[in-house]
Amino acid sequence: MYTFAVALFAGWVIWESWKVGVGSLERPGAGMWPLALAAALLIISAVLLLRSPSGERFTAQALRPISLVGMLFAFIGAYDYFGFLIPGAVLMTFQMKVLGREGWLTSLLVAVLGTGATFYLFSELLGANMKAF
Amino acid sequence: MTMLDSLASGFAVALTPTNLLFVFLGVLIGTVIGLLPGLGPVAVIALLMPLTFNLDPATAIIMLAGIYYGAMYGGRIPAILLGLPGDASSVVTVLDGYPLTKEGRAGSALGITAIGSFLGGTVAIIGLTLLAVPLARFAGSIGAPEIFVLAMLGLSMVVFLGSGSKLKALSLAALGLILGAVGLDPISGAVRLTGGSVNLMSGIHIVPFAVGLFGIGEILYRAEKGYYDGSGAVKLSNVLPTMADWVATRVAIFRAAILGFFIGVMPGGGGTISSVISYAAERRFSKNPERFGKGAIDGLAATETADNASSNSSFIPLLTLGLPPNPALALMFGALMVHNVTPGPRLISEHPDVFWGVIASMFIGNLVLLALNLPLIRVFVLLLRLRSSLMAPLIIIVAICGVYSVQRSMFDVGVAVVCGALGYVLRKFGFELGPLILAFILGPILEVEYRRSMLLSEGSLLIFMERPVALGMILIATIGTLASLSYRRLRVGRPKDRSEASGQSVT
Repeated sequence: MYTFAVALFAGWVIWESWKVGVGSLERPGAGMWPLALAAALLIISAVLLLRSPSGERFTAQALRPISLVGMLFAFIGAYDYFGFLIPGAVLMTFQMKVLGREGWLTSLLVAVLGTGATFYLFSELLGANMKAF
Repeated sequence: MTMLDSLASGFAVALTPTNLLFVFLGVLIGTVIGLLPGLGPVAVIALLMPLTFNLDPATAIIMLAGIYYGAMYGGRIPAILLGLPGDASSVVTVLDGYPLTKEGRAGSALGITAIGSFLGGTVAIIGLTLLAVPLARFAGSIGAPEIFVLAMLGLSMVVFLGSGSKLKALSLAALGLILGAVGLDPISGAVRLTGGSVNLMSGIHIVPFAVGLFGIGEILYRAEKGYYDGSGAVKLSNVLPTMADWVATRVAIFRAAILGFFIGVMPGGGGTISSVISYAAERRFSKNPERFGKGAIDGLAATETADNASSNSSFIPLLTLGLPPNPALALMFGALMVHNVTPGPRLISEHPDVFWGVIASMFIGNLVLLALNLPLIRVFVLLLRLRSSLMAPLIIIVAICGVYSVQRSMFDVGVAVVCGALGYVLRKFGFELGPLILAFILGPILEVEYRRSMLLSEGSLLIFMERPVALGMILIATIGTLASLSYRRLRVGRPKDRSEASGQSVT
């Protein structure tokens, strides 16, 4: 399934590269390099698809990382409205309580301290200038 | 300037209080983070890179180099004590390190690792110092076609010499090259592959890419597999290796240092390959090869020495030719570029403080590694009590801040999350991530040098054959690849096959 997605991606790259202008092998244009690569990727993906798939299966356990990805995107969205500290603490609490099965006290304590300390380190000491709230 | 003068000025740079502080911090933080189960050296470097961006270039690389060997050593600790390899190169460590722990000789194992690493690193750095100037001079005399061939060579070696499916590695290399091309075309300035996004016009930045792929990706993978529960702390009886241990291992260390040095200089060398080859070589030379895999301390010493020797010598192609030979150094390359320092033949003349300062600092860093680790082993072992369920969220938060701080952009954080998802999926399907990041970094170099070569030759592909150095390299590459492929086929039941079977990914 991944290989199929990659093949689609390669196709998109080929189309985009063609639009930018390919030139020739001897006088390459901007699109030549990505086009050649995407073509190679397409061929390799085709071969990989034809072979028997190896690697792990997706089970219900995969919901754990998927939910984490969802929370990460939620964090990014929430940052614009709520700043760093609250969404960050929520994110950490989610990971510890839901994924890590820690207790409420531990999760909240570590979340608040961790988010606060990291924010301080990066925003004040290293000048990243994030929005606190 | 003679070499000794240059080296002296390098030490002047390395011995300033700031740089001493940062090499110490780098080694310490690298070791601490590196010992957390699950994070390999590449992930650690990626995560900690943003901390260095406010520093001078020389200081930044000095700190990053410290983080590098700190992380490599740190990764050995869970490998030896718990049998948990953090990355592919510590898989070989587990083979004899873990049995030693079970015999109650964990302290010896850890101590010999520290000493072997130190000696291997020192030999490598001496070699590096001697070779640096001649190589930089050679590098100055080569042109676009040669650089193109060398970079191709480096990428091919990583693809073909990795464990796991070559085809998968190749597809990831192609993907990495494509992702490296997103943004402005370096020669014509045309915008490509951005899908209309303004944020992507300057390309995908190395930090979100690397932090996402290795850091976030690893944590996503761990979230599925279940977290390390902190049960690994072991009581250490003896912290230092005994005299008997030293006698048993000193020849192994000497052999491995030399071997590791040469393998590390080669494109694709450094880390896994050198440790595997040294281990296999030591087993060949041993009078009792059946001990290997059951707690042969000379086998362990050989792997560790070679590993550190090659880690240090792999700086040679980076500093002199501007070509990172392995994923960890690809990140260093990215870090240097962020500081507007372009590694390569001109580094030695344009930024001699960076060049010689880094080399001098490597001597110091290796010393710090030894000095820190022998006494602090017990403290580090205590850190193994930390549960991943608490550490992983902290790492995510640090990663988010780090990525954000590079360009003050939440878009970058989004890129990192996407790359994290990609890294997770790739690991599930059995892909190794090494070729992806190396290709991402080498892609722009390859493309630019190819197009420059075409301009030079006015469109003729024969330029690669006509220039003797380029042709020579192509021949070496072909012979080398064929030789290694047939060598692997002939050797059955080597440790490398066991590492493939255990399915660890390369970081």
